[in-house]
Amino acid sequence: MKLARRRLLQTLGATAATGLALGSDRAQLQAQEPATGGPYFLIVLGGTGGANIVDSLLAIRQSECTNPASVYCFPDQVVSDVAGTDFRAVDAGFGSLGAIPMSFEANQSAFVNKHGQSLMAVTHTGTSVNHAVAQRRAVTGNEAWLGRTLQEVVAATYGEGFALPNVHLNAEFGFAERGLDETLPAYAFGETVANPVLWPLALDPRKGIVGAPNADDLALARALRNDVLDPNSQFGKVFAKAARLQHWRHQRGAPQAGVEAQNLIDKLLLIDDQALLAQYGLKPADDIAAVRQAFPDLESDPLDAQAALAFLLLKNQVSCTVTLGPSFQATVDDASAVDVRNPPIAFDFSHQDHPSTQAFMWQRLFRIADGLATLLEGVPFGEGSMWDRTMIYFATEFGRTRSKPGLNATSFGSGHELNNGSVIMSPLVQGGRALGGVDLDTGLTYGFDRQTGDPAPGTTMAESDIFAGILGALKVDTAGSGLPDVPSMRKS
Amino acid sequence: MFLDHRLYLLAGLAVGLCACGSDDELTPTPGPVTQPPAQTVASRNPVVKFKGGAAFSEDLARALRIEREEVCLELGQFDCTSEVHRVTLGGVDPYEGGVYEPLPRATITAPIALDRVALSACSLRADRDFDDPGAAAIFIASGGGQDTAEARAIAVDRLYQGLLLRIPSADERDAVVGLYDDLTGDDRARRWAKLACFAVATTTEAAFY
Repeated sequence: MKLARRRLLQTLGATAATGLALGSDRAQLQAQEPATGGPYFLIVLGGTGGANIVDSLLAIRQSECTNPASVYCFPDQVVSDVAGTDFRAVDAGFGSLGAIPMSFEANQSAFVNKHGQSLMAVTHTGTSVNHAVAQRRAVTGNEAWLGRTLQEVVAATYGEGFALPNVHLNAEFGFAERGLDETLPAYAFGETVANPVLWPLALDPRKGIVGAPNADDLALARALRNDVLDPNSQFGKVFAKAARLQHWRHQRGAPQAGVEAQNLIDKLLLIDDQALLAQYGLKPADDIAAVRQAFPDLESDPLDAQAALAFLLLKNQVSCTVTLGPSFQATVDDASAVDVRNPPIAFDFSHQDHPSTQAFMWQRLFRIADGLATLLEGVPFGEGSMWDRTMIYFATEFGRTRSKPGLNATSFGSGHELNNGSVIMSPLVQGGRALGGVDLDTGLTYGFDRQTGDPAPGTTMAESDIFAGILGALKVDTAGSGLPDVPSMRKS
Repeated sequence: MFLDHRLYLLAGLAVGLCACGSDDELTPTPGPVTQPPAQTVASRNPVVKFKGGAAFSEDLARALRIEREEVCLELGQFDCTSEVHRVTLGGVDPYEGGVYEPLPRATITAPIALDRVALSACSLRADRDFDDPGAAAIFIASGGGQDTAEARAIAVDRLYQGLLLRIPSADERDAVVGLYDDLTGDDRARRWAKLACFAVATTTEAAFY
């Protein structure tokens, strides 16, 4: 046994070298000019609770609405057209957020004017008004391609050289559910992050631990454990074929080496207390100042923290797809009893008061998207920037009912409505365009021609159309999938 | 064969019960005890469960005789398994994170986080034992010093008894003791202590049941 152990330890040198080579290969991959066709990056930004498209880019005015007393529409003065685009923006002030006594101003026009040429609205009609089911269908196209999620497809296509290709920064919702296709490579499935600020500490086995052995010593101990103790113990032999043990051993191999080789703990830490970190031999991420400027509430608002880590994961090319979004949990600023950052049940707080909730939450999503796009524009990639290769998909479950209790009603609740649309933001899509439109009699959306994007009143688009269109814009090869081709959603 | 297995089980239980007692009760008899070889039969239905971070920390604290709160604190203030790595290590976070069920599969970072927890606890135990040999709990001087093969063998027995609730086989003991010979440089005894503890504490046998 000892001889066997020695042999194994001797081979550790080679094993470690292989691991290092893997790491350096990955580093080289990332330093190279991007290969033709990839990688492309997908950010799924969940509009948790029902982000209603006619409360943002496809808003309608009272003056153009056939039934303004009963169909949801806005006073003309709060809706503005955005030059050079098909979009509208709603700027309005509110005295409260539902029953929450906090006044706020919601301004969409600044965002839509700034990013209009990267924004696209696509209409669709879903198949479920159950939150969890509809969230899942928003990322699987209602199981359009073997039950794969958009994130898994992107990770499988572009993620082989990435340490953690697919990261879910909000674990609670269906946008982060695992797909059904177990034939995808293991690296395509999502890595769950529950606490974006502290999670990077799990990316290194020893840094920051007082009195920890050095890396070489640790490698010897791990080799002893993995190659001698585990396989030769009674437990190891009896349960050698246990699926969980096999998976654990796999994770301890190349995937773990790939993570550890990149020294990610030093690249992703969002904690800015340099004195504290220095005590433990750590430091904040290099980009911490810019990240904090874009997401200043990262210590008090989980969505800001998610976005901050999402940017660092993409920028450092740890991941090619990240999923984030507001939680169903309420977030209240500790310093103020009424400063709500996230209302309970997010967009679904529209049940209590639709207009203020939609305005508040859309502004919340737009602020996060603006921060991500602006930061990614500053990251060189090939001859352009990372933003040139990135898409933000505002995924949501469903729309909201379009009824309104009177012409001048300003505060009322809404229910779940299958009919809706999504915002997609990317230089890869038909910027400035709204594909489909809104029926002014009902406030419901109608579909579009898949080839041209021309409005097609009387039709609706399916979840699978949006799924296929997103993958097409990200230049994913979907041959043999049976998915429809939706060229109107991608930049020609 | 079943009778043999039962005897080994009883021996293991006795050792485990001893491990819960006082320091004096834990002091091994002179010379390493050797577990008789047993015939191993692979399970026809090999199903195991991950112990999870909470139980793992409790077991480390008990085995290494440190307070539960001392096992692993990130940046000296965030508990590793009840806070920082809770979801990664199989826990839930319903109130803040909205995670109502444990993750169905171990993520890539799970083994790293587990290593981190164990390394923290083992480093603490070894440093305490070496800094204050008179109060040592696991790495106890033997034969006039801590840097002897005999002392290391006794320590390995203590680690197995505490962490895995059994005595090691001769091969296992030799393998862990032999790790010392692969170390170069200064302070090998203390370094070995941390590594030996880590290697045993993070075996799949320690992390799954």
